[in-house]
Parts: sequence; structure tokens; C-alpha cells
Amino acid sequence: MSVHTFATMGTVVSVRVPDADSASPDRSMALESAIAAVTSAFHALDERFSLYREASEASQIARADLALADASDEMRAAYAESLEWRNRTNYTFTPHRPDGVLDLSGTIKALGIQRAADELTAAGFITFLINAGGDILSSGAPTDGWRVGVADPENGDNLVAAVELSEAFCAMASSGTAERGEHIWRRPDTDTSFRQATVVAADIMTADVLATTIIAGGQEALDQATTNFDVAVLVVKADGSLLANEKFQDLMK
Amino acid sequence: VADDAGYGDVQVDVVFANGKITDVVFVSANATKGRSQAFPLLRQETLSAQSSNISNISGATYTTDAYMRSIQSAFDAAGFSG
Repeated sequence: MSVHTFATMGTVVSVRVPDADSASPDRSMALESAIAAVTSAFHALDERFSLYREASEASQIARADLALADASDEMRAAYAESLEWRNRTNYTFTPHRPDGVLDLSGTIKALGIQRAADELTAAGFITFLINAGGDILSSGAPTDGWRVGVADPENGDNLVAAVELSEAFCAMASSGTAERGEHIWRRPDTDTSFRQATVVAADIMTADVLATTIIAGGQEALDQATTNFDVAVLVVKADGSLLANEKFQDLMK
Repeated sequence: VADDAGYGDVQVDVVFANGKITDVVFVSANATKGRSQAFPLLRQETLSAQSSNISNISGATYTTDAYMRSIQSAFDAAGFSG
């Protein structure tokens, strides 16, 4: 398996492609240029949407130096998509921080992962896996399948579960309070007994948004996600206990 | 064992060997709230499903520093296939 890694968006992205798929000189070159395109796709999104970069378009909007109506098409499209997810999650997922600042980081990493997959597919790669800071999108499957572990939020070296990704459930994302602290804005009335939520879906945006939504909205959001979406869900509660729907248990087999 | 944990009735078979739980099998889960709902899962059940063929780990987003200390970076460096 050839593995390419690079740092972006405050985390690390790894891309896996089977050795056999990049063995010939021309496929090896195709992979190299696809990885370069993947890297620039992430960097371009980070430069535009990062609130950690003073010069970014997102920071200009946050400072009210730029009105959203005058923002780039890409910014307005990302905002529109976030609003759509806000509606689909009954206002639990939100593109705004409690202080009112527009924060689209909840969808931007998923957008980067999807663009990365598009680049690899366009370059003729069928079997690959992209892992951006623990958010994972797979395509095809190597001989042994794409087996993915879910980290224990109490101790990242331990796993709480392992699943095999499939075509219908090819994307997995987790949200929680483990690595970056309380970075998810919870509604004041949300019960905080959910420590980590992992969602497996047919696309990375759904997986990512719903994982965030479940942490933000607790039990009610979990029930809505498993009822309204075709997703497999595993929740680790603060006391260490687990909740999973039947679809998640099917993926463990 | 039958238990109502607020998710409807969940019935499980617990397999003991030498005084320890070795397996937990869901016999039936719930009638009232629909099977789409999530219900409690015991860690023993997930442990048996873990294989050595794992090369990717999902969890709350790690920082670049945390990545350097993680098993994921070891997997990536080793080119583990999974």
C-alpha cells in the first residue's frame, strides 16, 4: 500500500492507494500529480475558510470587513450548504458560533475530502482511502477490505470498535470532545453525556455533519439521525458505555 | 437477560466461560421505538470484532501534534494496508 501524508487544516491527511495501482511508471506519475492536486485542494479551502488565518476570506467576514453578499461564490455555496444541513438537522447543526461569527469549518474538511476523492477518481484511481484527521472516505476495496477502527476517546491507543467500510457505507466521521477539547458548540439544554459520535454513511459530508450534530444535540439528535438518514452510528458516552444502531452492528461483522 | 434501558426491551444472551463474559448476543431489541434507534452495546461485543487488519482510525479530529503521537502516524509510516 502506498501512503502519502501531508499537513493541512491543523491536522494530517493520509491517502492510501494499493501498490499495484501505481506500479507502472505512468500510473506512478499519475498518482504523484493526483496527490499534488489533492494537497492543493485542501490548502486552497484552508486559505479561504480558516478562521486561524487573518487574511482568509472567512476572517474578513468575521471582522465585518467583507459582507457575505459580496463574498466569493465558493464561500456562499458553502454557506448555503451549511444552512441546508441546519434545516435537515432541525437547527442542531449550525454554521454560526454562539458569538454570531460564521464558522464553516464543520463542512469544509468534508468538502476537501470529497474534492480529494474526485481528483483521485479523475486520475483513474478506483481503490483508495483518504483519512483527514480521522474523517475517512474510501473507494473500492483492497483484497482485505478497508477495515477501520474507532478510537477510544479516553485513550487514543485503544479502539472501541472496528468496522469494514463498504460501497454503501464508504465514509466515516467522528466528532467529540477528545482531541480538540470542547470545540463543538452545544446548545445550553443539550445533555453532555455523549463523549464521541461516529457516523458511517454513503458520503463524507453526511457522516461529518451528523457526527457533529449528535455531539451538539445529544440523544434527541441521535434518534433523529438514525431515523431520518441511512447511517450507521456508534456513540461513546462519558461513562464509557456505548450506543449503536443495528446498521453499525452489521458493519462490525 | 432482559432489560429496559429506556430504549424499549433489549434482550441479550450473555455467554460465560471460566466466569468471564466472552460474548454478548442480541436476541431481540425493542418493539416500541423502531429498530432504527441506537441501543446499548457492550464493549465485549465490539472487542471480539476487532481484527489486526486495521490501518485507519476514526476519532475526534486530532491536531497535527496529536497525529505525531498517534498510532495512525505509525500505520501511515509503515504503509499498512488494512
